[in-house]
Amino acid sequence: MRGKLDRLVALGLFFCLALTSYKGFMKLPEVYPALNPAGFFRGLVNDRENSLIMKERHFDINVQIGKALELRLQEMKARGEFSSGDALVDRERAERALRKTRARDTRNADYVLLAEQNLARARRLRDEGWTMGWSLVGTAVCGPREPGKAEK
Amino acid sequence: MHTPDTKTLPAWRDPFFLAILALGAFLIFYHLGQRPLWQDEAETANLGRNVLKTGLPTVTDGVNIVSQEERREFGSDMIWRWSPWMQIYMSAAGQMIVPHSTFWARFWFAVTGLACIAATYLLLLRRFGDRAWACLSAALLTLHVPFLLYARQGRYYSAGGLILLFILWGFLGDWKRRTAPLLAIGLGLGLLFHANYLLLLSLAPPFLVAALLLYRERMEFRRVGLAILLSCLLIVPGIFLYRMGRQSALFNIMVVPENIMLYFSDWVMFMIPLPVLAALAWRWKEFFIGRGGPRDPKERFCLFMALLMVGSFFILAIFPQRFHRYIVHFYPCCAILLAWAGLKLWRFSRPSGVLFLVLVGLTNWLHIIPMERLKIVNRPWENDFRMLTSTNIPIKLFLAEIIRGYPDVNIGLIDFFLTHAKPGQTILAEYGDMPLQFYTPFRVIGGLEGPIDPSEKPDWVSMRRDVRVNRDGLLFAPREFITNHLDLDRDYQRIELPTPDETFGNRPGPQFHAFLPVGPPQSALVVYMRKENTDAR
Repeated sequence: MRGKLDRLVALGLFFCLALTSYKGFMKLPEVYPALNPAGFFRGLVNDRENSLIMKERHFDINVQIGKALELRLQEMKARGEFSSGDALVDRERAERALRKTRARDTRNADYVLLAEQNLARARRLRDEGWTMGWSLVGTAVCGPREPGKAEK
Repeated sequence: MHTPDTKTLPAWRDPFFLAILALGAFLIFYHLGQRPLWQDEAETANLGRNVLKTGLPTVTDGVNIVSQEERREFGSDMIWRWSPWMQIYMSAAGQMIVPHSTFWARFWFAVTGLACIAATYLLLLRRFGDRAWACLSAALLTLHVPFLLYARQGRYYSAGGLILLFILWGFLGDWKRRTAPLLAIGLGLGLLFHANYLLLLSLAPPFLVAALLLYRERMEFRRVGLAILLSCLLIVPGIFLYRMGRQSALFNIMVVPENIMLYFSDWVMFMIPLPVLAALAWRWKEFFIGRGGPRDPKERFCLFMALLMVGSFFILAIFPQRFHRYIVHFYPCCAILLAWAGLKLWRFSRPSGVLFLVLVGLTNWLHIIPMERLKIVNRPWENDFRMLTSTNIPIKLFLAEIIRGYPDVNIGLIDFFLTHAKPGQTILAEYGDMPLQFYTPFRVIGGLEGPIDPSEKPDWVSMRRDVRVNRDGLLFAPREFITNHLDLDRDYQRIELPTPDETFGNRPGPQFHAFLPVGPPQSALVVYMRKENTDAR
């Protein structure tokens, strides 16, 4: 009985490992775009589209937060409010929050740019029918060298 | 503990060990200086260069300031106090041989990486007498690409792994009676502190607890006290030297849960696959419900290492700066654990054992696929699918990078300024200021070093695509300075370089490291030249 159970476990284990090997191999960038280009590039482009949408929304939300903070600051200035001990938000803190929001705006704009580039790159790869290939040597993208020594 | 088998072949005559070591040497040293030092490596190298001049890690060479924490790293004496000095002196030792060389700035660290492979083998051979386990562990470590990436860095990472192996060698020996193993534990703990004190702070408590849980019969508190005393001889001066309290102001309880999650996520994604951990947790369930650990000394040691890692992650999570680099010293432990699991599996079912070892040795599929199936994705959104965060053959990516080369962002900047800037000129660099300080003779300001004097009129401005915010959530000083004090359109000429403006360069973190260029479209590196310089050319 014990022997049978062991054999069953061994078989199940081998099946799981073989399945992982099969799935892994089929998902390699050397294999997937060659065997199922439509599926690979649909997934890739869709991922990049989702990232771009997410980054655009992050950007939009932060811009709106900045506008709300600006409005609050304008109100405070109009009323002549400065710091007060019991206020939930005082002018100094609101100004600081606005600076942080603007810093995030700048960063979020960069993220949107990066997401746009990622999407454009995915579309380019799709249009070129790209696959990674198995060669290790390929075209040297930059001759191995110590920086600052080769092109002086 | 296990008595070593004295009949075994000496290591230096074991052809498998020698072959593994030769492979390791190739993978670690081949084109070691190919990609330039990136920001953090160059910080260490700049301090190392200053050591060669003054004997101490001063933050200035009279022209530039080494800082990435808005000048929190030093006081009025201008001596580096932010992190331990061991790596700085190691870098200096390399630069003493050939100054300004990337290869030599990384050399001694790479030696410790290779020594990690040898020490993994020797630890298991000497303490357990199991050559197959020793060879397999060393081989898995040699083929583990995240380990190779860190071993090729000019920083403390693989030295931490080597010291941990040294401590484990002492611990598994007869440290209750013999001096050498006791010294290994005590001095090892002290050295670990000087590699990076976070490694010691996160290792020592779980080490003690796991030893009490699994090796209680071997604990003798007088000898433990002696080991601690020995380590304190090295540690106590460091506490004052590095002013450790200064960083405690950065503590933030809000990040602890996220840190725990991310350390565990890194563990399963780059170190030990989730299914292996699940199987081990099931196998060791008796221990977890308080019925004692495994009887087999090898398995007990594996459980000991797993407990060390888990305990360390919880402690590391308390520190706000969460980096994969703080758990890199556990790579040898992971290789040992995976090799043990592979051999167990081999004895249970040979086809499964072979398949398992191929999967963990040559692919990252067992790490990635289960995570994806469970919808646990530890993958920065900006990643490329040709990185270690996606299903790949890591060693192929790694070989492709070291053979083909990589258009490193820092090479683009360094070459440009060496060609175009003139002696005495000032470069304002938004990021990458540390490599520029290392490779060029110019005055380099900006980076993450804090406020810039409003009267500065830099001859060159290297503006980067990536926008960085400081710990207070505000833009770093260079971007503020450029926006508020410079008129780039009026006073500067915009120059686009052919190199893509990638964020880091040769950053080894497995979530960040790009082995192959992703290709267009990518923003180009942009440099601004002061128009007075244009007229003078």
